[in-house]
Amino acid sequence: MAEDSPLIRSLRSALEAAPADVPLRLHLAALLLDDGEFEQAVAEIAAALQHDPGSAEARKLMLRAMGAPAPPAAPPAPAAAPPGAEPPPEAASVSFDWASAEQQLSDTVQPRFIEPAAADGADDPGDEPAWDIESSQVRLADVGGMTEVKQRLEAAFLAPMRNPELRRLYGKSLRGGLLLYGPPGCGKTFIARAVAGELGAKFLSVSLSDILDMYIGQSERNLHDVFAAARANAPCVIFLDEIDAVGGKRSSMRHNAMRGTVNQLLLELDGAQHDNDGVFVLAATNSPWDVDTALRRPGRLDRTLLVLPPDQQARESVLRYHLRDRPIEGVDLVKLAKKTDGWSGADLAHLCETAAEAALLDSAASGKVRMIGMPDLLAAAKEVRPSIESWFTAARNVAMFANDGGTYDDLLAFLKRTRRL
Amino acid sequence: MTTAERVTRARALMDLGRHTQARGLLAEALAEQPGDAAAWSAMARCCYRTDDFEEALHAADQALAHNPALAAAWRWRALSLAELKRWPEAHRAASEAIGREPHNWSGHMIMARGLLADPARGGDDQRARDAALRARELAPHEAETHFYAGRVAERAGRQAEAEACYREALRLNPEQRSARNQLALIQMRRGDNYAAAQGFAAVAASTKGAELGIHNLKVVAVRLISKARWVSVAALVVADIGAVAVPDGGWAVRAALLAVLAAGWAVWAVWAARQVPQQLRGPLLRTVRGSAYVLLVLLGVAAFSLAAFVLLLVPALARYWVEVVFGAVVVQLSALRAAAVLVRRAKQRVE
Ligand SMILES: Nc1ncnc2c1ncn2[C@@H]1O[C@H](COP(=O)(O)OP(=O)(O)O)[C@@H](O)[C@H]1O
Ligand SMILES: [Mg+2]
Repeated sequence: MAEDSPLIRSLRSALEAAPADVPLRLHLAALLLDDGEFEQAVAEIAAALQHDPGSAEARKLMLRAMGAPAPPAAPPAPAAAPPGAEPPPEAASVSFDWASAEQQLSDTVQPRFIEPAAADGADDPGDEPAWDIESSQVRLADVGGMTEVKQRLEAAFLAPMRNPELRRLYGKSLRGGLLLYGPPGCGKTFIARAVAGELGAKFLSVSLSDILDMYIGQSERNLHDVFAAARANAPCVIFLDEIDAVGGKRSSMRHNAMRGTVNQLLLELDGAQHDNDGVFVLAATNSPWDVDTALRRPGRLDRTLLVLPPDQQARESVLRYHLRDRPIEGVDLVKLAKKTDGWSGADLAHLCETAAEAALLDSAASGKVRMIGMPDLLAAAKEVRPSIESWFTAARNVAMFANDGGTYDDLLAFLKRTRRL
Repeated sequence: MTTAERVTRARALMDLGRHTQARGLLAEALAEQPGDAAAWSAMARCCYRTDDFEEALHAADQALAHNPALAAAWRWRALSLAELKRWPEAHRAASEAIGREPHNWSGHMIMARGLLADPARGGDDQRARDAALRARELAPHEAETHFYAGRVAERAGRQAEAEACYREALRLNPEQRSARNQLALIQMRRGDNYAAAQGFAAVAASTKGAELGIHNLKVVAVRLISKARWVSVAALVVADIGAVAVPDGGWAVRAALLAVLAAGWAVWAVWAARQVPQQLRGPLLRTVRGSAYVLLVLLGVAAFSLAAFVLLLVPALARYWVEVVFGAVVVQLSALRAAAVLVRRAKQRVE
């Protein structure tokens, strides 16, 4: 293989950081094609198709990689090739037709999952959770496992939101926000979206990109407006995702504009000028130790809740969710979940992607469509490295050496239970 | 999004500590405009901050290839080269940065940092001192400048001045890991184990500081254990006298001597525990338990006590007390020798 050009190298490292960035991946694939690195280009295109199966750009590149001339202004879904159509001479894979392959696969009649015999019959067969994260159709019931987190959320937010009497009685003790923390990819944002699904318009969410917009002055909206909207809408939950980005105590942030945002947040949380009755604050972070200590004082984000990696049951639902639209057959979710103890939800998603990519590449290479099966998933499970151990290493040191006031007692307990301490 | 917008956004992401996301944006920006020196310089920062020094150097060089006047890129080049231990080039790059922006404090600070870290220099380096003091003069509100002023003072043997600098750095930025570590080292040397342990624990809990902090905590433990050597020697003297004076039988005497011996260690244990803040005792014990060299030091220090125990419990050995003492000496020397080797290796790894 020829030495990669600097541009290709930097694109590759960028993709390691952002594997779901489809345009970036296709850009890399195009460059690889220009360099004549067909195999590598195909791998990148296949990966891009995993993230965005409908991408016309990806299909165009795939055709180009496989030797066919790119169709002029490629229509998104070309009709399946007629049976007698002559394949182009070079290679069998040239004629690989993604649209018809998908068609074929979706017509499949094979059992998709190997369902374990229902032990107690308590579960309604066939009611697959409707996971729609983007539009927040997710409900708490859809979140796999996480019983304790759900209970705490119910007690801290949902019950008082529904019941004004409860709010009146517990008014004082409901003051102050709840901070979700835990390893990345274990469902903090996901469960917040589920709370949003329960509350509808009574849930205001501030994400990292909102904060970024405020920070670089691209948005007129600021934290004050969010809190004002919440007060006008009370009872209402404000969700501050990746709170360490606003309220970080990194040295690089001490002098910059973010300081103003932190101060604003402190002011709003204290409700000094306003009445915060019925305004509930939920926040999330991977690194609570990076959150400004001022934000953690009593009355602010003073309660913490640890969100751990999914347990067996949760892993099953996460896997089910990520395989829901994929052409699979004979997948034993229980077995797969058993094999992935200690994996995060995001790791499981990555596992499904890797398996699908392997099957897809295989199909492309042989020109014969085949399903994603248990062997693909098990092979992928060997290949994918669970990502959260490094989080636990950092967390362990903080919990051991900076557990002032017992903030991290539940984390310590978990570390001991899993023999990480 | 235009290239410039991407770079702005990436810079903001880096300010917020989101380097992986920033890297994605920068790669996109560079895919669009491979000749954008500012984007390359931002990429250098991003790679440097995620400890990818080879890539950081590469990006800095790309930036300089497109705009050799970009002082920031010279600074990232200097920093990356220093991490790669390419000292002369690092110093040259720092000079270039200073030449282009003589009033930018970070250029001077990077120069001081490189000179101080260069093993070929060391001692009271005039150039390092000038650079550090100039940086502090230009930016007295930056914690880092006080840290390097402190390093320079420490090198020149002015401990009190160094301590004051580190305290100032920590006042400006309580999260300044290096200042905290350096201050704790001064405290440890002064015999203030309590404050030192607290400082090292803070280092151990900080981002990227775990290895260093834990190593230094173990060193504190070793210092506490080595204080027990007096107990150990006293124990042996007591046991010898006892064994020789009461060669056979005399169990009451032996029991009394054993009690004295145990009491000696108990006094040490209480003393040692009080040298460590209460909330750190458990974590420190847990850390030390798995450390080969700390255990070796303990064995070495306790060798005489063990000999004393043996002499008191096995009367028949009284005749061989010289041999037992000799054995204890051998155990002590070899255990401490082995521990020293391990400590040196561990220290190199941390550095
Ligand atoms: N308990 C769970 N049930 C279902 N899916 C989950 C669960 N935990 C994580 N996931 C999946 O993992 C993905 C990443 O989770 P996310 O909430 O973004 O993690 P975090 O915010 O903690 O970093 C989610 O989009 C979801 O698909
Ligand atoms: Mg999240």
